[in-house]
Amino acid sequence: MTIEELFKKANNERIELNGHKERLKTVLLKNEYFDIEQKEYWDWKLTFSSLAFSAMIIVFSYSVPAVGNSNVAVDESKGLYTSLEKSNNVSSLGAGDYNGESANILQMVEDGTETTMYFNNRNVLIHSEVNNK
Amino acid sequence: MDTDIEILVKKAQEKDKEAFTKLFDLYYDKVLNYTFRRVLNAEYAKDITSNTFLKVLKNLDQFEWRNGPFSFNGWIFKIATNEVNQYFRKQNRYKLTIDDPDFKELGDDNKVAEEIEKKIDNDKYLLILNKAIKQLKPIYQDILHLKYFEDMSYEEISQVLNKNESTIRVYSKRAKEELKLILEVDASNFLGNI
Repeated sequence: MTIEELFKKANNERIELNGHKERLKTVLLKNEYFDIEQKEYWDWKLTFSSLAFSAMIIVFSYSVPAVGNSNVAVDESKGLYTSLEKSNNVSSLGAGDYNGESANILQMVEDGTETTMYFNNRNVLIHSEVNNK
Repeated sequence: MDTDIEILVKKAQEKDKEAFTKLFDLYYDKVLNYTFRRVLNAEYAKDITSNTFLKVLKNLDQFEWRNGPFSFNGWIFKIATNEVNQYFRKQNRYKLTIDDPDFKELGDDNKVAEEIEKKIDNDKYLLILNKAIKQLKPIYQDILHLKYFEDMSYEEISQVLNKNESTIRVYSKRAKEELKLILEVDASNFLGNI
């Protein structure tokens, strides 16, 4: 007997499992693969939310440096410095340094409390101290 | 026939249930019998067949008709072969992946499975062949089953196993030689000289 003949002799048996085929078919046909509307809806939603999220990330990544941008900060701090400098209870102590950085120093006296404020050369508030008299 | 299958596949990819049902009817028995002859256990053959078709469905969108007329047949058998090999790696830990309570109700299948296995116990040829084949390298096992039980060409087997056709020819020759040697030793009690 050859190998081929042996395989042929063994190949006669065919199995059948009652009900399995129909049950498997039913399960497969209920699979979400065939749920066209849901699939398209989710695809659209997924695409839209991905795009929206990407847009948010892009906007955020551009806006974060803008918040930290020195021009904006200087403007705001310059406003603070200027308005403080004009106040009656604030006097300029002139130029000094804070932590090795040159600074313009203002001192505000109010209700027996002295507040010393240090601004850098871009008039950004870099430090303040409060002393009670 | 192949054109028909190609059309059915395309329709099934467009979510046509009727087309998928026809494909399922065409391939169910082939896959079930292939997996059963590989594992010789009706319950596992059933689970492997179920998992195979579930994977067919999940990956149907990615299937592309190429490599000639055996394309879809080869693709299904590739999935089934992967599942069978996964079963061999996991043996008794192989699980059914379909999570459907209705499906898990076995009904009279246990009894049917027992009957089938009793029947197979009497099929000495299949038992001897299977015992001998299992002593071969996994790829040799795949080739012998696909060539002699499923009657596939070398070209088709090369698609199923992702190997060059000439490699499959060489492996097939070696597999047959090794099988013959094993059978000469193991099966002489049953078959006499082969």
